[in-house]
Amino acid sequence: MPTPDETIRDVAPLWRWGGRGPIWDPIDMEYKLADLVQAELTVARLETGASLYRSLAEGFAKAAQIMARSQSAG
Amino acid sequence: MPPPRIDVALVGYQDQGNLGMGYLAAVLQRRGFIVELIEVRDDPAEIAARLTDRQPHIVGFSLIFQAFLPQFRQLARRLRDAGITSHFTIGGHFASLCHDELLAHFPEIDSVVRYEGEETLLVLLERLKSGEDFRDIAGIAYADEGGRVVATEARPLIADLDTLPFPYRPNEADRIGGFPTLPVLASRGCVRRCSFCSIHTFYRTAPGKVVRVRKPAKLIEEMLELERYHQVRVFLFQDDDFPLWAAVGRRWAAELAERLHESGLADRTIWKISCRAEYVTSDMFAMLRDAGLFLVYMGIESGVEAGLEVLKKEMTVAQNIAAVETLKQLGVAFRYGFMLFDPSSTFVSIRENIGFLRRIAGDGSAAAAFSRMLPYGGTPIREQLAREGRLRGDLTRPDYVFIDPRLNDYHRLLTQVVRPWLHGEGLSYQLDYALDELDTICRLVPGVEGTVAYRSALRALTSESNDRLFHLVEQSSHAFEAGDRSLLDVNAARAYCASVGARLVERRNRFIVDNIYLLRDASRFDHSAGPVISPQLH
Repeated sequence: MPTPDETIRDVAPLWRWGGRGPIWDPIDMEYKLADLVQAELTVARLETGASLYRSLAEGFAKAAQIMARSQSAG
Repeated sequence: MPPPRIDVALVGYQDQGNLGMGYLAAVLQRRGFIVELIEVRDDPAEIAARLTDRQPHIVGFSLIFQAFLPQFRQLARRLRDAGITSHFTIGGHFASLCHDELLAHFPEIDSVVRYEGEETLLVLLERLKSGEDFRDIAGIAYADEGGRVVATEARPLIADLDTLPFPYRPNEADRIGGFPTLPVLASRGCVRRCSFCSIHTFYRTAPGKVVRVRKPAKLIEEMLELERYHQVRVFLFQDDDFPLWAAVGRRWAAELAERLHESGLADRTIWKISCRAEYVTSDMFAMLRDAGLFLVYMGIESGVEAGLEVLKKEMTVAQNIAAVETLKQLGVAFRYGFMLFDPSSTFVSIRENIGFLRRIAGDGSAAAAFSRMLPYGGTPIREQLAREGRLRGDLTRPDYVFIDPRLNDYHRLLTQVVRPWLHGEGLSYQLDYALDELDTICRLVPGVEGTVAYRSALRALTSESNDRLFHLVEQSSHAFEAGDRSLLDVNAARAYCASVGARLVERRNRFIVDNIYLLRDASRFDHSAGPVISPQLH
């Protein structure tokens, strides 16, 4: 027994539910903007995270160098 | 074989056919130029690859909202990096009104085409093609060698819209259910001066008559062409304000209705308009309904007098309610724009506004929808907020702070919670789509069974969803004022909307399946008119 969606797909595919928005023009910037901002924030967070790790890595490397120098000097 | 030559590439959003780009392209094509329309969301590398070998004289960016500026700039940079040396120009409301800010932030741009661009773009192309200087053309702005922004005199608005060719429409029409739908324009311009809107500034800054209305006969000619070549059954009038104002508007509407009947379009097609609520009168809208009008979108925007005043709507709450009630009595569907948050908002006005929304949409005749007013470039309210020291954000994301600072936090948290209803594919929009689809079926497919029961079920679902959203705002705003944020629960909202959405699709599909052969036959293309003839052959 096909599901209603399968029946529609097989008999009249143009009538499949598309999960679409309304047919007038709701360019609702607030919500589109929210997506945009969210995406940019995610990128910014990733970049900040990456830069933090880079700084930490550089810091550890420098610390290791200093320690190595001080050990060899000692 | 070398790639086909093009003179102009127009880049922008292609949603709903993009009439603005369609008109620009058609005017250029009429003079023999080759134009290609490009979807801005396509992969930039792919767009660059399409243009690199063809080096059009102009790449024109159609910017509909300033929020998209970073996206357009990124693409422009990619095109330059790919070695595209074309003249880059840009148009649209924001570009026209804030050309200096835009040129300062968008150095890849060579010129801005301001206000109505059809004639200016044509002259620009002719100048560039013949190697002449373009900097004295009326209706443009550019940065000179020293980086100083120069704006030439504004080009007058097009006096007679019927001198324009019909828009170029190379893309397949969108559909509502099985029926193709395309946008059309009956007029341009708006005489009102709403404080949040840049349309009146756009039309009033350029010389010429602000509102221009097409002749009904030409409109019918275009609609018949769209019906024949694109099988359009649903027309979406995208006018700034459908021209029904005063006696002249009523006469125009009567002629349009008469010609829709004469041409047979009233029997075969339906249409939607956007207009001010004050135009809605029982006699005129009954006449329009009988000529195919099935849906009216109104920018109601506020349910309290103070909000209407701040927004300079020049309307009253009572007028808005009367318009909605008239449409309900006539059996014409309505949708609305509503700014729950505006610069005058308080916790009390938020709840009053929800009370208004309950009154117009509590019965499920339309899904609950609202937004926050944003101070776009070129709007009077942006200037006012700047004077008050409340303007925030930046060029691409303008914003402001509320008078009550607690409302800033409340709005930020509420936005996340109401997203399952109000984002692009949220529950409210799904419900409205289902209601629109049912109206379309009732008007275009005779003999469909079960419409009364399905409509009743849809309205019950919509009413239930609306009530849940209204209740959420009312209760959470009270609680937030008392320091309690616990009612702003995103997960509960998501779960509720997912559950109602599933019920909606299940009920909708059952209705479609019950009528599936009738609907299949009704939406089959009629090829008797012959093949689709594109107005341009590449």
